[in-house]
Amino acid sequence: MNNCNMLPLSKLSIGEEAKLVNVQGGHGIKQRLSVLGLNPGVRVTMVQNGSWGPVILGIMDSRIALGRGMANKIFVTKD
Amino acid sequence: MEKTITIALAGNPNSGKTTVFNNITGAHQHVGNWAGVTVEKKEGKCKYNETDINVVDLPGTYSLTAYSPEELIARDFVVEEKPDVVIDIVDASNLERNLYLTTQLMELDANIVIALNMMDVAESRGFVIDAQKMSEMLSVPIVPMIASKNKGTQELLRAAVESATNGSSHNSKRIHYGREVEDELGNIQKAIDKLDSDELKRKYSSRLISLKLLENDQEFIDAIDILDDKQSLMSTVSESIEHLKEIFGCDVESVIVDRRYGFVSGVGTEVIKRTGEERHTRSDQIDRVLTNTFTGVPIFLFLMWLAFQLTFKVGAYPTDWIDHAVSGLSHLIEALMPETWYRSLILDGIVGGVGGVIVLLPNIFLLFFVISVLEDSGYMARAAFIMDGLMHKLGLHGKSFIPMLMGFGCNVPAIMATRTLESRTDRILTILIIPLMSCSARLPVYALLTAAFFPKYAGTVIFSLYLLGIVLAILMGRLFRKTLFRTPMVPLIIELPPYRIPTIKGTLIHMWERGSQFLKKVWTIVLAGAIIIWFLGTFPSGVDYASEASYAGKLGHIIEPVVAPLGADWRGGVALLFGFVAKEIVVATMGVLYGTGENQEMLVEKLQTAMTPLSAFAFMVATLIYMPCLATVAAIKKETNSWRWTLFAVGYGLALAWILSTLVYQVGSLFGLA
Repeated sequence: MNNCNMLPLSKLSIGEEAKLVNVQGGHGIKQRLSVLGLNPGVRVTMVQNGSWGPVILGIMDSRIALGRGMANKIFVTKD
Repeated sequence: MEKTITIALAGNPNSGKTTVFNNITGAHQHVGNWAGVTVEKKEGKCKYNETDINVVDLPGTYSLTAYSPEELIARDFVVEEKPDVVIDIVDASNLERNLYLTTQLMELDANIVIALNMMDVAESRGFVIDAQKMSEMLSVPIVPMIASKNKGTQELLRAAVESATNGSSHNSKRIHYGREVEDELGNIQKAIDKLDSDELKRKYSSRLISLKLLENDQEFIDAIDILDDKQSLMSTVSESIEHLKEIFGCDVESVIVDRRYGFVSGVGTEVIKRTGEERHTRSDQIDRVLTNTFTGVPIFLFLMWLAFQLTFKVGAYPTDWIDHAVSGLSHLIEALMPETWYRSLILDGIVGGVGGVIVLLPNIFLLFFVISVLEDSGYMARAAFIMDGLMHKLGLHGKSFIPMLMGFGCNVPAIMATRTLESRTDRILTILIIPLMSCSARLPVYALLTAAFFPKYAGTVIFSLYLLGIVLAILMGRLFRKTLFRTPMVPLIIELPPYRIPTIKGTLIHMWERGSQFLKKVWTIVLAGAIIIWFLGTFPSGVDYASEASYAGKLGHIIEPVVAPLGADWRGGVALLFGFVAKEIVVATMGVLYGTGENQEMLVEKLQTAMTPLSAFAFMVATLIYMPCLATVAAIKKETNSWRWTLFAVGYGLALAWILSTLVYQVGSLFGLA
């Protein structure tokens, strides 16, 4: 995988799609994201991303709100 | 032939689980707590043909890991109580996500029946689901239904009873984790078979144990850890984990979770037909306005204002009626009973004390009504989203905002509203600072004292007290976060359910459930507190109620040295003491102590000679902070489930109130304001 293309999730603008590459975080956080479907390899769409505060992600057919700190630790690639 | 079976309801949050539960059990419900934790346990009964059915509502979860108490409860119940049937409620409009839990239930060897709920929503989003095919793929009976319209309930019960009857024949589909993982599972299973412990093997299949050990599941690791012959098993497990890590280049847990999703999405692709790609669903369109950076906050504030108005303005009418009814009852008792100590007990103690809580009922029920509407419509999750950025800066969670705001009306429902917070530390932290939100019962005290001492600046002075409460809440929140709750904050990760119009039945049931449960829990504490205060005011016998000669008066003199630094005398001490029952009583008590009864004008005159503007302000600061009222203390005890935190809430309030009001009085005196 080419790491140069990775960017934090929070940098996606509204409507952009990307593939989740990895999550920087402990076991608990990974589990929690994973049960919501946020696993490496999954395709996500940015639904709402303002200049501050949390973001809303589209994943499969659901919408998930993530704190901005969290969104900074999730890395994705645009293809 | 009569028989009894037990059904457990499992499902994701927002899958309509509660609605299904309500449909099945109707009014035959019982709400309690799961042993040892403050997670709600709901049970109910119903009858289908000749079968009596006990229904247990498991906590709503996305998975069955050892990550949260809710998930552990659900898992333990399925494994240990072995319900005859587990009904897995699956949101058809969100099939793939919901099926993840199903795969885990399948792995627990539960006897599953799937309730495929929200078929109408799925349809409106353009999905057609082939339930027949899905049932074949999973080898599990499936009942399509629309719980919000009570469609499919009878069919579901029939399937559950049937499944319970041929319970032994169930063998749901097993997920294949790929050759490499399956090989290692086989190795671990062999090591498990060599173990001596029957206890563990009786509860779980050796495949499940192997899988959980590979997944690094803490509960299973702990269970193995206490065994004497764990050595060879543990080394097999770590070898397997290392081996798989080499092959896949990442954690085994992720591989396993990945495979489950693979299985789930395989099922999804097979059974879902999309009739139209609806990328911008209606919910997204609503969200574009409601969670927008610019419009989100004003709309949120407006909705909160509306909720507040509904709870406290509309609630003021029934509150008034109850108030009249309570005082009518008092007059009746006064007229009918001879003047004895027990009349006084009933009047001043029971009617006065319990009445003080009963008048809060309309507010409490209305608040729960509002909260239910906000939750059921899907807006509550958005509210947390909107406030998260700001609240984070204060060391709090986005979901803490609504309870804190509600605190301005009444602390009791506010504390109960903290239930929407998932993490226990966030919940306790929020509960601890809610009493600093100046509730409406404190207003009469401010009104009286500002009328006496700051007639020209009444508004400004009262506003400054509210502001002081907010500033203190922020400071204390940060302080507690830095000292008591140093665990990192749980970051905001929540699902935003699609917007839904709440059903009247569901909303009313939610409201009733929470309100009546509250009453059941607090009445004993409130009654006991009211009687103690009454006793102090009445005895030794023969004294006037709450006069200087009563125990309360004597107590006032004893605590006078304590309240003196903040510029109060023994009367101030007694008034604060009695204010513990309900803060508005402070005013009534002052009326008694200064011998003016209910005549406020006379009381104002008397106060002007007994206090100074500075001591009055210090007294108001003390009233704001000093101690949550009796009903609030009862609510804190109930919600934290801990006397330690309850006492802490009371203790820190007293300390903070004393320090601040003394500071106000002493510094003011230095500047010659006394």
